[in-house]
Amino acid sequence: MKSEPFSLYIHIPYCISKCPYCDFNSHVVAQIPEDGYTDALLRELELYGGKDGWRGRTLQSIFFGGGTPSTFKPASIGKLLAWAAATFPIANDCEITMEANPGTVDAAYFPGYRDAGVNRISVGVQSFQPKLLKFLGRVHSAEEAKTALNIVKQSGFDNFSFDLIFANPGQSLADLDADLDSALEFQPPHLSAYNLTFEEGTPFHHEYRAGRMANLDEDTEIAMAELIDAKLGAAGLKRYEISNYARPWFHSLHNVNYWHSGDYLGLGAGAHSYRREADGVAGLRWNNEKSPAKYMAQVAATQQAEVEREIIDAHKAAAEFMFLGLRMTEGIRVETFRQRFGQTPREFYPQIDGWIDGELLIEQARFLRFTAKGLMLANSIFVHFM
Amino acid sequence: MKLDHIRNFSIIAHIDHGKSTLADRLLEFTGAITARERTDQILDSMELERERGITIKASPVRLRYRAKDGKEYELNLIDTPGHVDFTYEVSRSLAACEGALLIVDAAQGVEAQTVANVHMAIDLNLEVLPVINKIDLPSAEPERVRQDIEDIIGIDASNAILASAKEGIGIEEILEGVVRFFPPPKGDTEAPLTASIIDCWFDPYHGAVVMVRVMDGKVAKGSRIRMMSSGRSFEVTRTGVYSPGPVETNGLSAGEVGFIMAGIKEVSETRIGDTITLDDNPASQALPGYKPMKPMVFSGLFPTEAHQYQPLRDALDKLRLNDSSFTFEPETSQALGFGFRCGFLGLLHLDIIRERLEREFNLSLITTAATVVYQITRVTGEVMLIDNPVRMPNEGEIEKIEEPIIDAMIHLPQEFLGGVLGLCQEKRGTQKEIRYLGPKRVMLAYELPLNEIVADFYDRLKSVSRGYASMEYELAGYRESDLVKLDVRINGDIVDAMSMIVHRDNAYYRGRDLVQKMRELIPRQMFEVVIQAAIGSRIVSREAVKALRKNVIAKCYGGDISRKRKLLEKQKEGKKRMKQVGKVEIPQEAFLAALKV
Repeated sequence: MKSEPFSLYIHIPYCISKCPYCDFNSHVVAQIPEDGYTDALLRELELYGGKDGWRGRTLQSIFFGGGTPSTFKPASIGKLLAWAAATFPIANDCEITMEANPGTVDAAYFPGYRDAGVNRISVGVQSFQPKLLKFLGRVHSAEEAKTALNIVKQSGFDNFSFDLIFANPGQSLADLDADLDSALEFQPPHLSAYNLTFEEGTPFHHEYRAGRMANLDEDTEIAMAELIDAKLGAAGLKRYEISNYARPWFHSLHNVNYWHSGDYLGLGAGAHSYRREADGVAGLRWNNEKSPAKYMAQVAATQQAEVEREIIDAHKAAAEFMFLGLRMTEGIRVETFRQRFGQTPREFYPQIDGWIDGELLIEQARFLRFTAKGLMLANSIFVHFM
Repeated sequence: MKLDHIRNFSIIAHIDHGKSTLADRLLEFTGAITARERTDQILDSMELERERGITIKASPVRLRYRAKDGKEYELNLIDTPGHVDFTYEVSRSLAACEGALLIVDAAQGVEAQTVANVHMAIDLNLEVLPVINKIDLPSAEPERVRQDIEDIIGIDASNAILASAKEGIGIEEILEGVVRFFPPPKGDTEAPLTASIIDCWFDPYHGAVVMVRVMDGKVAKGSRIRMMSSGRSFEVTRTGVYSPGPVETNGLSAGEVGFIMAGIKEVSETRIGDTITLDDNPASQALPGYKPMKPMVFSGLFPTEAHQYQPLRDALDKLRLNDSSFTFEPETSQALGFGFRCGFLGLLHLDIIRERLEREFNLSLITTAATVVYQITRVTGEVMLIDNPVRMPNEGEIEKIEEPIIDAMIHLPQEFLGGVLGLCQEKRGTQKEIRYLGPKRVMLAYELPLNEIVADFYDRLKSVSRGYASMEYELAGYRESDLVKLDVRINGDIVDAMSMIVHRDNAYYRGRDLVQKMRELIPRQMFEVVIQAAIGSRIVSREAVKALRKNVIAKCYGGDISRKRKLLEKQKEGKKRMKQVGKVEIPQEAFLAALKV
């Protein structure tokens, strides 16, 4: 029986409008079935709470992701958290994060979320510049974003984060610099800065494929990444993952659990779960039905909505351990890898020596991590672990 | 036995002028096949032949035809291959005939490719009967074409038959023409057997099937036959003809065309152009014109993935069963691993074999630059033949290098003369003769180094003459030449599979072109990739592929992990098709580029 703590992910799939770059499982509906969907989540929670492999284990983090979780009222969030606490033991320092939109309606809920038990809020700001917000198809204004962040702080959230998207077509280094200045005015303890990518299936990808939209040139993208690193670093926000920056002790525990190949239980439409076998090598990943309506119907009928599962064998597990762990700037702990897979990373992947010689990787203090140059080329190296 | 009822003929035509369709119509008209049985173009049986619209293997067919004179005739249609690499095979097919139909497209007019073959037929004393085909086309100009045939080819076209194979027009007239215009074969049934080998292929049940034209004497089941070039003898188990399926006969006599089976296990025992005689009553002399076929062009074939080495060997074994003109032996390359050094009649032959290997046997291959056989005399006096640049000694150890030279005959319309002369000059040719065949037609005789031909000469000739020039060539011998080995270095390491032997004067340009092309084809990697062309230690050209500096996925959270991993797995699959030289990954296309410069 497993006893180590795990993380809980709850997916709220509804949005007011769909952004053209977003490939997450999100849906725009005329009437959000908040109560029905909340009930389905509770039924799932009840089921997994009694299941071998999850029963009795301590929750180290809870994350409401989306979609837009702030489309739900504090009462629903509170109910879910109360049920979670009744189902699983909760760690004293359990991180409970909620993703929120900076719209006026959403921001009004922030104090309520706080009262419901949410202790970390992550706001989808993306930019403080009207022209970039418009380009990204966001429905909020720059002023609304600023107001929302002030409400976050006034509501007593000392732990909060927000997202920025950079390297947008047409964005200059000066535009980014201005966005970073705006961001730092709020003295956030955590910040995510994502290089824009054209994800398959999105309107942006369609434009990209048709040749009407392109990435910025490589030199500009690198200069932008360096600017972010320098500017946030100087403000005390250290890069701890490819796209994430935090003051000491403010790393997102929930996301770090993903990058450490930890167990997580995902509830809701399209949510993914992962659980390692008791022996710690192979594992199982599964995911729920993506359509919210079908998800609710399936849960009503069978109390669960699993539609796909994949066995993560030792080879895949090792590959994932590497490409997830190396996303973090501290890298992977050599001894953890050895305990799980029986060999050190350098024994398991002999090419690592060449990358160390090429100054892409470095092994130091029993951690294997990327150099600054290597981090930029992470994908080129990850491919070799497959 | 009288031979008056036999006619042996072939069809000469430019690609697309309707040879195969006409052959199908002749088969239909004589009842050899019904229209319903016919899949288009019966004679071109190989998938590749159909696709390329060229005939690689000749396939003779016997037709029975009751002519208007009331007599029944036996017509043997002997198909011919249609490319310069197979000139010798064409000549042996033509030598088995007394007549040839010259098919000319009524809209396109006379095109270059046919001219050389018509002249070959005339040299072999064949009667040539022109057929102006596709007269149903709105753009048909039969009278202009008739004049063309007289002007350009220089034969009488007053008796030319107007036809449309597609519409079935003129088919009977053609058959009547074959009967009336072509002479019956001559030959003495009582003389010792001489039979010329037109073609042979491998049948899994019967061994080699040998297609012959019997000149004198007769052969039947039980005869002990002898190959005059090798002296090897075999007992005949079966004789027959194709009409178009195989039909057994009681024997084959002077004047007839048909097949012999004799339990011959290797196609290499039967050589096209060789003479078959009887072991116990041999002819005193072989028929003229036999030349042993020797591969002229060599190239390495390597599997992209190492585990395909054995399947490649099996596939080569199978192909060789049917084509004794190509050779192979194991070769090891530092860059490409284990593969085979293969010999071919020419570049098209190479292309056909490579394509068949990839298509029919599902192999993924890397082909190295084609090369000819060089004769190298070392300072020690030792003479060696080199068919692989890798084996070339260092410059200091070489006394002299000789390269194969060909005698080339190029036929072309006068308007393209300037371009073709320029090309021959560029390709180190020596002009032997320039002759006007008519007001608009020129024949050039040139000596050219074979290694220039195997590069891109043929493609260039076609392009400077808009397809109108045709060429045939034969090996003329070896000549000393200032040749050097051009190496390609990638990040300092020589890629052995890309080395080539070139004339010193061209080395710079070849090196520059190759290096430039490779720069475009090698993807950016995590470090700079420097591509150099070098002669010995001297660098003649250099290009660099800038290092990739950024390749990173921005986001990866719980729901995305499987998807991202699958994306990475897919990219890894893509890498398998690349070859690793040192740390550098080189795509297959970059090796192919070496073939084309």
